Amino acid sequence: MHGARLHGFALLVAAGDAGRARQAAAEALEAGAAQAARLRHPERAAAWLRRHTLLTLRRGRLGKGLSEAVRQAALAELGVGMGAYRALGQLSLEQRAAVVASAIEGLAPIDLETIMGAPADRSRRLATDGLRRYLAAMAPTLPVGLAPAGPLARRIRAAADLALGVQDGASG
Amino acid sequence: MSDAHRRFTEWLFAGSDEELPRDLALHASVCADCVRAVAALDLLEGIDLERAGVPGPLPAKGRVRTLLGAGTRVARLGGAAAGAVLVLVVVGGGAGPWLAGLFGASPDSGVLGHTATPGASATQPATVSPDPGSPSASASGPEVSTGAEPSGAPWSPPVTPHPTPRPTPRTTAAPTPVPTATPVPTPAPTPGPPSAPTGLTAVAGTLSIQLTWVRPASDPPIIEYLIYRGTLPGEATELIGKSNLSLSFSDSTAIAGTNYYYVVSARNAISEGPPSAEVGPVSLTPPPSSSP
Repeated sequence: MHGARLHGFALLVAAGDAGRARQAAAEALEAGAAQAARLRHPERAAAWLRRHTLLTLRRGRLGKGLSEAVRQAALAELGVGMGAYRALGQLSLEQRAAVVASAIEGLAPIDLETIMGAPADRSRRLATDGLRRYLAAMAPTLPVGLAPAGPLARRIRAAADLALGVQDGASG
Repeated sequence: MSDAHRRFTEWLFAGSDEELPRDLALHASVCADCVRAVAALDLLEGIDLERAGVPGPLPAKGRVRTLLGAGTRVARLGGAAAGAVLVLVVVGGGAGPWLAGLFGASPDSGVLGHTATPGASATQPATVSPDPGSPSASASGPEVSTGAEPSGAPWSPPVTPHPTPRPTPRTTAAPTPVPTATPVPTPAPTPGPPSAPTGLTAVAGTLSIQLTWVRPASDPPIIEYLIYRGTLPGEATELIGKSNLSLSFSDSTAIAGTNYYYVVSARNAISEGPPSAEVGPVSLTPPPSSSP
């Protein structure tokens, strides 16, 4: 159940270093399997596995000997374009992990604390700083005048439409 | 920066879980910077981690090397005896549950063995003793780097790639022309909607019309293709189906005797791209007449 998502988490945090990501995820899964019988909070297992993965990825240098094209190709399978790849590359390892866990996976704050091994405010700051840095690198590369069609854009559009409707109604 | 802009940015960074105030929604839908920020965040939403697939079992060689590394680290940290035992056990095999007990010890004591305490410690999972290069368990310690890149894992893609500097030739004889093999950095593609699919073809069968096309360029990657149909040229505007990443589509709702026109467009996390060149007219092939 956790394998594929954990592998994807590792691949993103490792910035496309597929070998390191595969090994980190596999090690975490193996350690998790060895401890499964002792799990008292299985709902927190995803965070535990990501914590293990993050600590493994911290050891040693990422992307050693790998070209940018190879790393980007590994991430393209997840739907990461070149722009996002480069923007995420501006983040520290911890910031990437925090952004992936919170903004992409939507994990709960308590899970983020576990993954980052840090208290709530510090974990949240890592995610916020990571997002800020990602946006600073990514947003300027997007064309002006585009009409985004993603879920967040649709939500904002719906709220704006609602606001316009209410205002029209109030004025009329 | 306007107040609405600042508040919208805060809303975004707060995780955008709370309901968006209407004034901020109005601002965000007209502010070019906010629109681009939203598009950039939606790119993250479009990432599908599960496409990575299950990592598979750990190769034995890698496992031994990892554990040997852990053992030598322990020895280096002063626990020479423990490190030596660890190395011996790993080399000799049969580490089994003994190692699982040691190495599997909780990254999260709240998950394994102890009651979770929000904001409390998370300890190193894969080493017997604390690694000085790793975060400590203490909530007050400097366990997390917020810097540009932690020293243990430096990686940053070249945003503005520069060719590797060419070493100065030692000889000072006649100037040798530099070979033209200097790597030319690839220009960074600009993220945006996908281009139009090309090579759209329609092949009529007796029961369906088979469409195929060629994948267009796109950054970010394409999420799906949209297939449109019409019965007049230039009016293929009825959405009849979507195709995830397949470069073909079978229109099985076509009616015999009707001419159809088709276009296909691609969509990525930013938006839908322009339609392909139209193909048509095409109609179902009449079934072979059965002999009496």
